[in-house]
Amino acid sequence: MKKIDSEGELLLQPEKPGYPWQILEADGETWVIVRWRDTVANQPLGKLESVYLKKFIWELVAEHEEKCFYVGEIIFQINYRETDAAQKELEWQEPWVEEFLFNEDLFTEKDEEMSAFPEEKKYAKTVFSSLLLEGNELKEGQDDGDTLVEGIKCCEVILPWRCWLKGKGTNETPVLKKVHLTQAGLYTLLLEALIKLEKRQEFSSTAEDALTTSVEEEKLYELTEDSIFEIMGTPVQRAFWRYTYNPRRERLLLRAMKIINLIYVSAEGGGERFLIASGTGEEETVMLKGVTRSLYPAELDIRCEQMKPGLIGTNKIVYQCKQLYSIQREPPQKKETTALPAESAVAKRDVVLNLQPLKRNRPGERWINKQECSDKWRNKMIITIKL
Amino acid sequence: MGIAANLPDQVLLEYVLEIDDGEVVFKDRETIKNCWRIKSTNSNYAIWEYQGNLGLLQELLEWRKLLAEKGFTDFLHFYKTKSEKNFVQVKQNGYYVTTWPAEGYAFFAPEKRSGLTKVVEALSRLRTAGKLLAKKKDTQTEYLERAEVYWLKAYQERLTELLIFYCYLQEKRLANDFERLYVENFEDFYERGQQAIQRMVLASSSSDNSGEEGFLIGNFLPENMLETETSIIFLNTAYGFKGLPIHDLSLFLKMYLPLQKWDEELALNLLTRYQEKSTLDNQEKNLFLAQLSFPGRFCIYTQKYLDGTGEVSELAADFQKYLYEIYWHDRCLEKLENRLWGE
Repeated sequence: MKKIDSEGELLLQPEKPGYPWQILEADGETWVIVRWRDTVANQPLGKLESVYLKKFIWELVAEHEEKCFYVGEIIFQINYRETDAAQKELEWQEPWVEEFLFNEDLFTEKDEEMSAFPEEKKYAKTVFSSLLLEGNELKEGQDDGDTLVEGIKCCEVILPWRCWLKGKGTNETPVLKKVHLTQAGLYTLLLEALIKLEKRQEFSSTAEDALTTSVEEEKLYELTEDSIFEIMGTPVQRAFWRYTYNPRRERLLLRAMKIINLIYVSAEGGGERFLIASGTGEEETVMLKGVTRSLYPAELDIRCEQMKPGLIGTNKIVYQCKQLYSIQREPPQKKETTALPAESAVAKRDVVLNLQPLKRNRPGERWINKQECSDKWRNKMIITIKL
Repeated sequence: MGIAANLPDQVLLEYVLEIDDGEVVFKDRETIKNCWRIKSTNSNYAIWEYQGNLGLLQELLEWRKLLAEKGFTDFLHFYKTKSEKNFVQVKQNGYYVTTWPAEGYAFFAPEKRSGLTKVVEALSRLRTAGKLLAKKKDTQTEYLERAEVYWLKAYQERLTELLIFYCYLQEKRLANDFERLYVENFEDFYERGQQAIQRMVLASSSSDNSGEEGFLIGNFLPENMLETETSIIFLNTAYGFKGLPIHDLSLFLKMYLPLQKWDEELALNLLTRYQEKSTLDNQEKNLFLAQLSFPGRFCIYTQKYLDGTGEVSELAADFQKYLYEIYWHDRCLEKLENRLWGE
C-alpha cells in the first residue's frame, strides 16, 4: 500500500525554544535540547574561541516494560574574548537627530495606543559570532584555565538533563549530536546541545506474520516562520488507537492520531538554532486484509523505515517512509513463566474473599466497639429510627 | 519681485519691508522647513510659516519680544505688521517676518567644540533673561498643568510602551539582533528610566522655585542654528512647549555630547559656563540629571523597529553603538552629578 498525499503541503509550526531544556519524546526516540543563556561578560563580548566537552554522562535510573528514564549531565567549557569598551571607536552618523526625534515624540499626541505588535518575523543576518559543531568534533578536556592564552576568558556550563525513552527494543547509547554556541547580545552567550536517545527496534518475524502489513508514505511538509539549515530527524508521535473489525470483508481497520515532528537546525543564526517543529496532527488509518478471526489485537508493533527527508528550498520537506504494522493476537505474557508474582496472588485472594456476602454491622456497633468509647455506653440499648 | 510658490500674496503686503523690485523670495527647502528668504540690497528677511495653535504663536512672539527687551539677542528680531500685529493669519496658518543675518555666519557644525560653548552660553543668557520676566498667568495655551508633570507622564508612558514590548518578546522566539539586544538590555534601561522619573518627582516636589516656565527652543538641529563669530542665533523657535530653561540645556547636551564621546572635561566646562550668572537650584539639578539619564534613544530605536522604519540590521547596529556609548555616558554623568551636588 502506498499513500501519497496530494492535498498540498502540511504545515509544521516551530515551537518556542524552551529553557533550560526542551524535550521531544516520540515513538522509539527522544530528542533532548539543553539550553543555557546567560550574561557572562562585564565588557562587550569579542570573539568566541572554542567549546570543550568536559563531561557527558548519563544513567538509566528506571526501566519499565516500554519506557526507561535517563538522568544525565553535560558539562562544557567555553572560551571567549572580551572587547574593551573604553577603546572602542564610535562612528556615529547623526546621533543628535535621534535624540531630537525622541524629544519631539514626547510632545506628539498619539492617535492610538500601541496595542498589538506585527506578527511577521523580522529575521536579519546576525553580526555576532557563533560556533556550530558536530558532537563528535568536540574536543574534550581542559580541566582548568591554566593553559589559557592571555586575554581569553572561560566559563564552565553544567547542564543537567533527564527524560523518558519510550518504545520497544534495546536502548542505544545516548548521543550528543550537535552543539551550538553563539553570542546572543552584547554580553550574553547562548549554548545549545542536541542529544538523541534511541531504541533499536527488534521486529522479528513470527507466526503472526499474516497480520503484518506495510504502508509506504510520501508527504510534503512546509515549515512556517523559519528556514532549515539541516534536518536532524522526523520523529512521530501516535496516540488514541482504535480498532474496527469488518467480519464480512475480513478486514481489521486501525486508526490513530499521528503527529509528525521535525528536529532541525535553523538557518537563522544569532539565537536558538536547534528547534522542534510540529504538525497539527493527522489521522492515520491502516487496513489489514485477510483477518479471519475477530479477536481484538493484543499488541501492535510498528516499525518505521524512514528515508532521509528531502529538503526543497529552505522550508519544504519531502517525508518518505515505509511503515510496517504487525498485530499480535496474544499478549506476550502468555509465553512467560506461569508462577504468579506475589502481588498477583494477593489480588487473586481478594477476589475470592469478595465473593462471600458481606457481614452487616448492627447500628452503632462499630462506634461502641471503639476503645475510646466510655464503658457506660456498653450497657445501653441503641435504637435506630428510620425515617 | 518674484514670489515663491506657496507663500500667500497677502503676507508681504501686510509688512513694511525694504524690498527692491526684482528681488526673489525663495523657499529654503534644503535646510529650513517652512521658511522663505528675501535677499535685498540693504536687508535680508525671513518669512516663517507656523502651523498650529495661533494663540500659542501669539504668546511665543510676545515672549520673544519681552526677552529682547531684557537684552536677549540670540533670536532673530521679528517685525510687526502694518497694523501692529505679531503675525499675519492666512487660513489656519500664521506668518511672521524676521531679520536674517547678512554675512559672516555658518550653520552650526556639531563636530566643532566652539559651537557647543556658544550655544551653552546663549542658553545661559536665555535662562537669565527669563528669570527677569515678570510672572504672567498662562491663559492662551492648552498646557494647563505644570511642565514637569507633563514630562513625568510622557516619560512614564514611554517606559510602559517599552515594558509591553518586552513582555511580548518574552513570549516568542527572538528573531534578530535587535530583539536580542533589546531583551538583554531592557532591564538596565528600564531601571535608568525609573531613576530618571524618580528625579523628576523630586524636582516636581522641590520647594525651590526656578521661576517662570518659558518657551523651550527644543530644536537644536544644526540647520536651526547659525553660528557667528561671537555667538549663536536660534532660527525657528516655534516649538510650542513650555518648561524650565534647563530642559533646553540637557537636550542640547544629549544631542551633541555623544559625538564628543561624552568628554567629561568638556561637559563640566559647559556646565560651568551655563552656571556663570547663577547656579542651578535643586529643582533644576534634578531635572537636568533626569533628562540626561533617561534612555531616549532606546525608545526611538524601539519605536522605529515597531513602525518598521529603517532596516533591522541598521537599527541593531545603531543600538549596539548606543550600548557602547552608555559606558562613556555613565562616566560623564557621574562626574556631572558629583559636581552638581558638590561631592
